[in-house]
Amino acid sequence: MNDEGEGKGLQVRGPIKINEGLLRIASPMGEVVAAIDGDLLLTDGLGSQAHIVFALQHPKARISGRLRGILDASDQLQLTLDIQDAASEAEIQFAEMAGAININGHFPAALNGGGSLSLKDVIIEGVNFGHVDLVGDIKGRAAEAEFLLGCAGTGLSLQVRAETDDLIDPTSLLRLMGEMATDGLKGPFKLPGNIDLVGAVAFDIKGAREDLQVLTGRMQSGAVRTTGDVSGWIDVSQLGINLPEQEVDATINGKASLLIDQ
Amino acid sequence: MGFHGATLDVKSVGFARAVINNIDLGSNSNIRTKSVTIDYALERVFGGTIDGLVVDALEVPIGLNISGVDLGPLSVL
Repeated sequence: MNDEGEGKGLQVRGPIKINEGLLRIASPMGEVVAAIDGDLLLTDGLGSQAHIVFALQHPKARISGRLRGILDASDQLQLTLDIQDAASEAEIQFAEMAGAININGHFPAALNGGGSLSLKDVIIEGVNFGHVDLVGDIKGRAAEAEFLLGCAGTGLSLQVRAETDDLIDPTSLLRLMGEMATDGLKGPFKLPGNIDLVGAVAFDIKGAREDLQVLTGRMQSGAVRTTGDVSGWIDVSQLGINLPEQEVDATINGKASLLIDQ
Repeated sequence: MGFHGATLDVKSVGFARAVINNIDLGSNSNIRTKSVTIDYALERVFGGTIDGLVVDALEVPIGLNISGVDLGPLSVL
């Protein structure tokens, strides 16, 4: 059946109502069960529209909301996804998520998307990042996103802009730009000993996404290896370091270039 | 090609509406629905056009992978 409800010898021109539908979606992340209720209206020459209420359930996550879509006679698609309730206990955990995603463009080849999401109590690899606001745009496989994080209980706030040419290919280039500021690192970010760190750092780093994803862990293990170059700069502004036990009280200012080659 | 072991109950067939209950497209497909109501007009249905559908309690398995959506047994339609 194609997007206009047509099979090889059968077509629907009129309303389609789905009551208590259940999609069992096998995905690389495990099975997702989608409960759907909705109305579709397929017309001849005037395009088609859909209103669907959905609830997706994964063993470690749930998401529910409303989907509104219009496919006009020239195959221009407008899709709005309102996320009303979501939670995750997966690798990226969050207590609540809400927001809207808009997708538009010529169906199916040239779709663009964008939207904004607010997530509460985000925990990634055991680190609580607090509330995260995300604004993003997707064009084909390229994506740009801005994250605003107020890391609860860490003394750190972080603003990051991420750009990639290919969301799917892990070897594609990822550029991370942003600023972080701290009034004293605490909780999971607390530095060893009695070091007090106060100030701000701006950064602009690029490298293969697969390298950047594992870089922090490899630096901690002392075995820094990458598949390609990771480069950029870090600009430190009024970063105060206080080590009372060593009688060190310093303020650092300056910009450093960074290059990690294979 | 097709659905082996498919079963359904035809509840009613009229001049403008047909109701089919308990559609099961076989254990290999895992596609089933409690009821499908089909609205049509005789002058259009023989040309392959139906005027509306109501589907109750539809269950469909699909796959999602890096190349997109895999409709499984439904891809033959």
